Amino acid sequence: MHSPHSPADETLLTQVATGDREAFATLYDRLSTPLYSLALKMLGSEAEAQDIVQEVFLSVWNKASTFNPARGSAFSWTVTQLRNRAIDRIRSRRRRGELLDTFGADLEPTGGESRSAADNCEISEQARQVRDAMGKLSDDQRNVLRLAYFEGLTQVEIAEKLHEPLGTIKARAHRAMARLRDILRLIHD
Amino acid sequence: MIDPRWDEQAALAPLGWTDDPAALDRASAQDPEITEVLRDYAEVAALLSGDAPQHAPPTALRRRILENLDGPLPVLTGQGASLFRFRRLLPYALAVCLMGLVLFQTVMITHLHKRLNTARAVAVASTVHRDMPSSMVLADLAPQGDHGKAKVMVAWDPQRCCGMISMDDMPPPPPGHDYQLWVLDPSNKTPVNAGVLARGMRSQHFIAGVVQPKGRPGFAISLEPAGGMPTPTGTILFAVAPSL
Repeated sequence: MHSPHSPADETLLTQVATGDREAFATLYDRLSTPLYSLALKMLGSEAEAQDIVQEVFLSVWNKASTFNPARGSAFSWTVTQLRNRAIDRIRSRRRRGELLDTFGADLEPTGGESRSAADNCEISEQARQVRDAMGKLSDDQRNVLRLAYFEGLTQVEIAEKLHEPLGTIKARAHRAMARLRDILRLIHD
Repeated sequence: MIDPRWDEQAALAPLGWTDDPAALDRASAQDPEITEVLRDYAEVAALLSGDAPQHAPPTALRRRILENLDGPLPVLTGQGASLFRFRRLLPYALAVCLMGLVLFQTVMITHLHKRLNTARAVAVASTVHRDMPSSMVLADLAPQGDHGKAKVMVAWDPQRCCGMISMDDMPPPPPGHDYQLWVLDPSNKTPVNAGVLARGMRSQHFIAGVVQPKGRPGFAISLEPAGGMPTPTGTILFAVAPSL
């Protein structure tokens, strides 16, 4: 995602923890597109996506010192924070009965300064690799992962939605994650 | 290879589907291999975000976030640093100045309030005695020793040979004693008895017909046995010398 000569995200986070605004700006430039894309995919609303991206980056600024590299990369730390916030919002919407019916199709921004992947947004190499890896999963596996990951559904909710036993859903998700891990390892190695 | 059960739990952890998160934490703490697998799956889950169509956020969002950071201020050096430090200290300096001004005003108001009370007392006395002087002289009686915040002022008309003495914050005299006022007439060798002063933290005492000094007399207050004495016997507490 960045030049081999530029500092790693984890190094930038260490600098951010000392109040380095320049490091923070660099980190923002690296991570904002994947985080915003994920938020947009999960929430389907540009305004809400911007809100939670802002929340996550302000949290990164204030809590950078709590980051533990032993538990994962800076990228996974920020993605986890964003997903948790997005899932909270999705579940809050469900409680209000406002949940959109379908999330299957890729959502396109409605305007503003966002750019679609197909048009002029540069798709990162990493994103392309993940899409390739997802393409190697079975439809069932991919479907379970997308429902869990992007819609924030619980295993029980997915089982009900797909009319499948709970154990089947868990096993399918496990196999999908394990296969993705193997594929991505192969790509990176 | 770790137990397949833990592998499944580690794979489901990023989705929030772990059966017993606490048990997984304990197992991870005891087995570095489980920790490593957990980390791998966390990275896989993070990379899954790349499956979403990529959209750059609006440039305004970057500016908004950077403007909302409330962390430590940037470190500056050289002339910019001096200016920056000055700008940072400016609000504190203004606050200190403001506090000083308020304190000064409070002291001034208290002082003026006391003088106003004396002037009011004189004005009241003037109403009672219509031929009261028009060229009043105000003087403070200097404390002879430490008498706290007690303050005694005198207003005297040298033409009419009458005046008013005002006391503030005077503690009550000890049992069996009274404060007694003396007029120090330069033409008399001994102080002239001007009477026992009323008790109380704040009081005014009218002085008239006691002496006919040629110039301005002095005044003194002493602590005397209850009822007063014909000549001063006790400690002089306050005094102002005659000024001819």
